[in-house]
Amino acid sequence: MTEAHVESALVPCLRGELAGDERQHVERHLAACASCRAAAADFQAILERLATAPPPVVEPDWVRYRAELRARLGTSGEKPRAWWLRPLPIGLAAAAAAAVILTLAATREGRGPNGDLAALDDDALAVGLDIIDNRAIVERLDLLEDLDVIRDLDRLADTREG
Amino acid sequence: MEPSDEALCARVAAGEDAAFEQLVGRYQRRAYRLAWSILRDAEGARDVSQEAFIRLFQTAGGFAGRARFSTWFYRIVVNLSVDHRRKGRWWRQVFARGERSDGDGNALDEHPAPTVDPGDALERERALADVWAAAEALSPQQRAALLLQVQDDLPTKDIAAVLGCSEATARVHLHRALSALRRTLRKEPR
Repeated sequence: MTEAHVESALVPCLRGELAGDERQHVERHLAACASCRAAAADFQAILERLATAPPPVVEPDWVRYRAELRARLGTSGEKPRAWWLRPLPIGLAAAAAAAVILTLAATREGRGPNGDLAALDDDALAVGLDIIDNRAIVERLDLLEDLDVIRDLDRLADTREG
Repeated sequence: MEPSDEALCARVAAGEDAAFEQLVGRYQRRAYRLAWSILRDAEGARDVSQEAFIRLFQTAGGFAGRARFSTWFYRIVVNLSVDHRRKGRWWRQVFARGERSDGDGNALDEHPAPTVDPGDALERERALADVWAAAEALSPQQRAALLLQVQDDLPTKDIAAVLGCSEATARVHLHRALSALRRTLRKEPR
């Protein structure tokens, strides 16, 4: 016997699952190989034996099983709501609301938070300035329109204090 | 005419409790046995199979109908069983192994056999018990593959889908399972 045994194809062959070339190959092999024929016959007998009786499993009391299942469904069996219908955690909801308000405000000014490259340049410039120390002045300015004033904030503050 | 599993599942997705009850009635024993074949533990099998029905109730709408309902549902059972094993309970596995190694007849003595008529059926029953007792020594995948084949007559490609492996791997599981049973029953040297 020079041909390799078909082994794992035996069960699919017994069940009629093979087709085409594979089926022909296995059938040809079985016709020539006594060892695989014997294995196939034994497999068939074992499968038939197993199919005639269920495994000896300790089965639960099915009435109690169903009652337990209903109880579990009562506590955790709610169908999940679609994500857009689920309540948000308070923190996340607050953050989302703030983001919406800021976006609307920026849109009213004609610039989105990331609307265009020029806006990004202005934002970068504002970050580079020490505006926190001069908050009182900044609050009275229109940040997005008067960059010259912002650039000279330090000097303005010194002048005012001095 | 009885509605198909797939039709019942669609009705569960539409919120029909009676359809769910019908599916539970059809599958409770099979789901329990499948979980048991992997876990070898009555409590775990009950817990996992009930959880699988809860998942079915919650996600019936996710069943796309591309596969058989049984394949889809058994996949849930297998996944939950694997998770259950993974979650620890290692001590339970150790004890289960110990019980199995105590002797061939112990597990079957503890488990009530199916109803038997006396007389001629006795020898046949003993032969069946021998086969199932031999199956105790198989790996969980081999046992599950074997059970799905003899209990549900699932084709190998569906067994592969349930076990989450390739069809070639499912074939190997089945071949090894049957080879091991054959060896045990014939007392062949390994």
